[in-house]
Amino acid sequence: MTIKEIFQSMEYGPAPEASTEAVVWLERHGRCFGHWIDGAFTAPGSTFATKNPATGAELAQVTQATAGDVDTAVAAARRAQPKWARLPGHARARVLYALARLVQKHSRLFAVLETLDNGKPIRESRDIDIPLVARHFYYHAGLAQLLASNFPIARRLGFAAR
Amino acid sequence: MKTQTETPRAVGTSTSQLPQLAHARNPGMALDLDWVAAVQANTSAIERRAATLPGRRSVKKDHQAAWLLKAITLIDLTTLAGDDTEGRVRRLCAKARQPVRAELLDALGMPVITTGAVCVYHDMIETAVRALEGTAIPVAAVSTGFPAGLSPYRLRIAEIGESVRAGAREIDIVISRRHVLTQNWQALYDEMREMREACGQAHVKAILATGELATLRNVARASLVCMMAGADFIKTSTGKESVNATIPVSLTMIRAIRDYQDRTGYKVGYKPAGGISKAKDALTYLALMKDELGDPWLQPDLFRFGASSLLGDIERQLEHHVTGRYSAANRHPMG
Repeated sequence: MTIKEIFQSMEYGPAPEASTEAVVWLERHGRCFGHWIDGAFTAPGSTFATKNPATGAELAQVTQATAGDVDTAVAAARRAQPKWARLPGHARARVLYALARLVQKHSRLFAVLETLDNGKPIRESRDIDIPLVARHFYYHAGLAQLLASNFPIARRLGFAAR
Repeated sequence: MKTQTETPRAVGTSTSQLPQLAHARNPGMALDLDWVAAVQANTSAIERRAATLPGRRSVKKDHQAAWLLKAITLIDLTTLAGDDTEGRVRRLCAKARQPVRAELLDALGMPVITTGAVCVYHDMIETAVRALEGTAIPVAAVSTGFPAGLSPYRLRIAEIGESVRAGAREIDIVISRRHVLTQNWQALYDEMREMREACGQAHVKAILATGELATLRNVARASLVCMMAGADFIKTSTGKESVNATIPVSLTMIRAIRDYQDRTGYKVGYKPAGGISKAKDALTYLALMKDELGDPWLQPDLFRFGASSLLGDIERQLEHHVTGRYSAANRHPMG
């Protein structure tokens, strides 16, 4: 459309969100993913395709988890837990806070990736979902900081997957 | 005034920018106090919508240039200062005739555009009318004891007649804020009715001075009463209050306009004035009008900006669109 035509119609412009960064990230991982267990990606196992619902194009191959994968993950979490439990509240808060900051730092990548993957409007992933992730971590960082003073009788029950 | 004849001066040939020609002019209606009393304004919801609107609408690149050009055609280019001279008004009118440099318009592929109107005090009407001869740009005059509206009532009404005889085709009147603050809707209605009648064929913009009305509910009710009394436009402020046009106030007023149209079928115009000086603000207001009232309110017969420095910033943005570089603001003088 020419400027003159837009001047007549007064339409809103398109609002494309650049997917470049997300595509580069996918390519860097060969568009093939294992599971994130014990601080690293496992080798891809039996995979299936995840598609961009807007175009039908394949985004990547992701691994179908098995009972064995779950056992490995639980074992890794059990190994990590005692060290975490020994940390005082403010040390835990620092870790959780850093996580929140990192989510914010890469929020555009996460939002575009989420929208590519499930087709929801970018406004929802960018302005609601990903900020909410960061806010969860901030909230728990705040709780961890107050652990000793406000929750003196808190004891661990175990661990949970998120 | 002493040289004026009794008949309004013939100005140009086209009257396409007068609202009563593009849309049926709002004739007003009997004062409906039940309706006025039922009007509410949810301040938190309005503020929330106002806060989220600017980030939500995409108007970039060519669309931005086109929208900014549209904004120029909606500006009531205004000078309302105690030190106005005929020379200044003539320079302002020259700017209204050619608000954007010709080579910029060429580069944008646009024909010649003009501002929506020129807005001056009564004594400058004759100068402005003469300077705008041969164009379709109407002259608007502020009236009725602008900006306070506290001069003798008889003189305020007479002032309208004088301005219309001097050639003003649009009259910006100020309402008596005390009628709103004391909830004296009948007095406000009667005053507005009489002012509308004094305007005759000239179209009348009612300035609510929203910065002095205390609450958004008062703004909504005053808007409604003025429309019932036959206002062609409702306008936020004189530009002389400490708080002038804001997005929450605008939202309240244009929702009153929407309600009035739903109930009566008549379209009433809207003019935010004061404090709108950046191109980005202009785009936000246009998006607000498009979202809340629709495309008819993106045309000069139903929407105007009351502004003086806005045009300079828009021109600067347009130059950036064409050349990729910003020029200093002093390269875009107003007159």
